[in-house]
Amino acid sequence: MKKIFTSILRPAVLLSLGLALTVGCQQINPLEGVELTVNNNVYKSPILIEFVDANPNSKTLPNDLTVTISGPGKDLVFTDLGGKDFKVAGNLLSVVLGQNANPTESAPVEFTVSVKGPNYVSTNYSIVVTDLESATYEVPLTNLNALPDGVGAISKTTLLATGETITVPATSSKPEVAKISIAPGTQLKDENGLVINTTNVSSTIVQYGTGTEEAANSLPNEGEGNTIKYKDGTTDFGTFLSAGFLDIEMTAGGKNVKSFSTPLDVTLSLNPSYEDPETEAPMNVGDQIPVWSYDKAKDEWTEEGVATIAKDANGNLVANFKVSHLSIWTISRNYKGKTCGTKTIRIKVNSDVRYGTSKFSAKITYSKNGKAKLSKSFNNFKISNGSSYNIKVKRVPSGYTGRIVVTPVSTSPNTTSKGGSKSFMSCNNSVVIVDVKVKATAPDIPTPTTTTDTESDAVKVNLDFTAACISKNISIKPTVWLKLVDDTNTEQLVSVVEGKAIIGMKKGVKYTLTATYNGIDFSGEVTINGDKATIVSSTGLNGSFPIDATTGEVNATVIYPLNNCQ
Amino acid sequence: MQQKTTFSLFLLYVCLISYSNVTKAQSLGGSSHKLGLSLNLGTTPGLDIGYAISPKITARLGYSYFKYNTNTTAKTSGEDVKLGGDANVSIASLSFEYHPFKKSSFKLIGGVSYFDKGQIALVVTPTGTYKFGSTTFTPEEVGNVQFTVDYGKQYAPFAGIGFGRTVPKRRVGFGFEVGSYYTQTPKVTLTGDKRLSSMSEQQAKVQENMKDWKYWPVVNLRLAIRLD
Repeated sequence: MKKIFTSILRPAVLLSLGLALTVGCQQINPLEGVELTVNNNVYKSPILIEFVDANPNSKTLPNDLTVTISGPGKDLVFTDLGGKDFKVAGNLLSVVLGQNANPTESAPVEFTVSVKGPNYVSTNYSIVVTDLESATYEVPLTNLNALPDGVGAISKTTLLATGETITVPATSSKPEVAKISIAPGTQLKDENGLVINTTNVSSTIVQYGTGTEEAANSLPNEGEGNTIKYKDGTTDFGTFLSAGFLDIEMTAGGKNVKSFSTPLDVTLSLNPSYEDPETEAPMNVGDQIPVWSYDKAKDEWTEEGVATIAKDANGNLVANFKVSHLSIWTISRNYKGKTCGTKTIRIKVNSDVRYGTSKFSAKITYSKNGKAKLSKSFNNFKISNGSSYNIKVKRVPSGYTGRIVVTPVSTSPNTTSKGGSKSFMSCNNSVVIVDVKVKATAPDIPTPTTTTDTESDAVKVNLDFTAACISKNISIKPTVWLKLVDDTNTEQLVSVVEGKAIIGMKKGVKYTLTATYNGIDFSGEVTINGDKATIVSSTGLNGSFPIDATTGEVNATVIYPLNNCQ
Repeated sequence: MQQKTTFSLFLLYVCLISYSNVTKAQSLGGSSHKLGLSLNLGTTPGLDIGYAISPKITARLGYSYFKYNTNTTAKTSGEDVKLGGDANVSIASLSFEYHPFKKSSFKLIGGVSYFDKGQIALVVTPTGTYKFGSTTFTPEEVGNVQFTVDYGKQYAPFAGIGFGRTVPKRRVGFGFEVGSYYTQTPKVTLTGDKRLSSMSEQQAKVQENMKDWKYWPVVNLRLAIRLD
């Protein structure tokens, strides 16, 4: 037996052992680390609505906001995960269109976002979706604690027995004055028309002038009326070109005031530079201008009458009208035909950088005969050579010439333009080429010479996003919005589609990344140094940012948890 | 992996002990017979024709063919899935067995094989519904994952050990062989369709996992028939 073992079995066992170990040491499970990854992106037209402070100098972002979605296309609007419980994460609201939506220019999907929050004036903003592309919208909100230029506000408590004339005074950026008179003995009524048993009323009145872009664009839906009810009973849509407007809110006895036994008398002075948009000439005494009220809850404008222009004791042109119920009130022309409504401008960027990281503002101005009619700034304009964007401008005037000028977003008052577009006709559908030369001070319309991959020391980052289900061993490739904020507070908003996006990031700069998904923020910090980096100080966001030694690009993988899987 | 390795070694040990008796019976004395045929049943089923060059060395020409389809259900990562498998193997080989001991059928085997086909394909289809937020996907909407391993056409050396002779001393003999081909790393594909289309992004990970899959294990039981 011993001989058999030593002569036969021992070498056999040793050989077998070696063989088995060789085979056994192979990676047995080829699928180790592989996860079932489901693409759940059945939705269309991912939309990110960024609520910003209308005052560009404000240091805070709106938060604690609540929103509702209304309008003809509301049934086609969903949260990222297909729900209807719309939540604003920080100042961002991401929504998508449902599987059945098929938006086109001729058959757009239209819906209205109503937003309110503490210390912000509630407002409505309508979105018209005409394609399946990702889109961002910047909705300015009036911060009562940091009013933007051209806006005035006052809060007051009035004894009803004596009444009061509340004045919103002129400011350096708002020459217009508003006076609202509450007659002595006025009774207040709630939304059911019942008299509120109270002796005083608290008023918050916000007046928007016409002399600044921030104020002019603060009209609900930037002045595009989705539903306008005329005195003759007809209903239509149109564009308001306001000569000034007021947002009046009153509370009494713990209730919101809706109407009065005696209408309020309002005197609204006109901006001296205001021109009748119909005649494009200064207004004169005796001219009439329609008066409109706006029901925020119904997103509905109602023609209330006309105001006749007069002169006050100081020689200023004023419009007098009566306010029988509370809402937004404006004196404004309402146009159909003189504007092309909400216009999608297709922009193609030519630049000397391919993956820019700095924040730029694109300001579109429509003018005729040297006079600017309307201007609108887009403060998240991303410079990326060859990229295309669709931006939407409301109440675009017909027959005007548009032009885009791009400037870095900076606190410096003398920020130099980095480029822009040639002139284009306001209502045309042609693609607008925007030339931007980032690396050197440029004339208004520079011609880029050479294109480099990145802006200065920025690197190309290929993002790969995954949302890992907590309850199941599967993952999804999300369509999600990512906000990058660097240590100079420069912000980039990136649409990550089915887990993929390409961005530019600078080495040695700390970025805060925030992914907003289904009303939840997942964030973390990353600084790309050396040949790799990982996300730190994370709130649900993890990932690594290794640099490919060959290409110099960063192939980042980012993951966050998802607890809505079944 | 450790459990699998331990189990493999245990099986090997049991086989060796069992065959030591067979070995003893077959390995008595020399033989003048030259030609034999061996039927292999195991991981590379097929036939070998053997020619005894000397009492200790036999040359073998063999062909292995293996095609297998399966459709079953399984639970993987907690998920119920349907598994559709398809293995397709076609190997021609030239090898030599060397019997170092006169009184034993223990042998060392070495040779080279030509892999005409060495493919394994697997289709994994989730059978349950998946719900993300308010969105539910049926199995039909989710789709499936296709995983293939292809060794391609190649020459691969083979080494092994065993018991029993391809040209047995008696008319019929039994044997056992264990060994491994040394192949090139197989080419892996991982794809998905419908909602699983992004699975292909993980192909590189699987390929990396299989970079050492160069050892194709061979474990065969053999029935040998002397032809002369």
